[in-house]
Amino acid sequence: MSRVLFIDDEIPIRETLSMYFNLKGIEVTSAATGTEARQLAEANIYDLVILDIHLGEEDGLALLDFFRQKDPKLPVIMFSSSGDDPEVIQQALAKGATACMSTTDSLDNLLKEVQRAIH
Amino acid sequence: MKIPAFLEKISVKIAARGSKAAQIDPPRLGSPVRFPYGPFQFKAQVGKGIAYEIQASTNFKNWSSVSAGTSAGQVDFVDSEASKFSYRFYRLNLNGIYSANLVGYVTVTLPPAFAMIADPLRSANNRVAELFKEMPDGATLSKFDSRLHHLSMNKLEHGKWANPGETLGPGEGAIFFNPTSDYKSLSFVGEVEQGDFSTPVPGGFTIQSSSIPQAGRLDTELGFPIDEGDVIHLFDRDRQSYVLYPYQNHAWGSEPPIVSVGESFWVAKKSARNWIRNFYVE
Repeated sequence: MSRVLFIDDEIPIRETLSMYFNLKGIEVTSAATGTEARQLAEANIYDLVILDIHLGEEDGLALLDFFRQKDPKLPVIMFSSSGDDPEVIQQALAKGATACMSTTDSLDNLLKEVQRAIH
Repeated sequence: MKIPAFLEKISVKIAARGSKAAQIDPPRLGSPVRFPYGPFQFKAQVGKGIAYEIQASTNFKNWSSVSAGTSAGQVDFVDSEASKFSYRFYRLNLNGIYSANLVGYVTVTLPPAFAMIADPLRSANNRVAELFKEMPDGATLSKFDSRLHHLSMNKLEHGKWANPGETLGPGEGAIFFNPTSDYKSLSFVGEVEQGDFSTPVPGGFTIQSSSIPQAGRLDTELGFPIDEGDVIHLFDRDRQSYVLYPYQNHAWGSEPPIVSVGESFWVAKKSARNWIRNFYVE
């Protein structure tokens, strides 16, 4: 079973998507803060990370750097919302993000993107 | 909850058969049932020989007469037109004396995957095993634990719910997962609550729903307390994605959130408030 670390402080999206992925056979561990995510990443092995670009008051790009340095091969999908600056999304891709998804995408499209990145 | 004066025991004298004066108490409607093939049924005890009229409404404002007759001791009504309405509510009129309660049904559509649902009707048994007994294996019902910040998961496997005693009542909300590729239909039946309600809405994320089966704009028509910085999340059942409604600078971003009957929603509240409703049908 694939293991995903999902980092997002928006509870409705994080919880619903985590439940959906779990029902589809993907084991999801969720984190609401960068600190929590770093601790989980140090203690566990994941096949993929989903990371909210705008993580509360924290910088999602800085957390992306952390994952890139920890394991350059680990797929990291950035999660953006409609209000996010397109330039920040471009910066994320330039820093090595595997892909960018939007919170307005359907759950099924998000699942397909995750499956594509894992396999 | 305060019982309105007009719903308290009313004794009036009306002319009964043979011009003899009789006292009539407002009848109570009971035994609401929605049959799988569509009709809705309820019963009421009404004194023999008393003329009655059954009225139906979808908005509690406009009532139409759907049946009339003279009681033989019990009124047993079946609405064969029920399948034409997603929700409908009923009352009994005895020559100006209305039933002490309203009953009805609410049908929600469950698309493949997720839907945010609510049961806005009070019933004798609102346990999951009773409300969702016709659902397919693999279905799940999830309520949000605001202390643990986590969605629970109650799953139906081999025809049995993991937690059959879990309840879903008016004011609560849940996320239902339909594991099939077909649209499913689910009907809630019961009594419409009336009175003065004050529902605590804590700060942070919670799932909420209207205690009364009404559709409309959340803040103005349903009276939900909205404050600067709050965000409403509605789940689009067809697109299977969330639509966010932030309330900033004392206005909704683009358009206000409109909630359907039988729908629940997420709210991220900056601070705790009470959702106050004063609902009486006259």
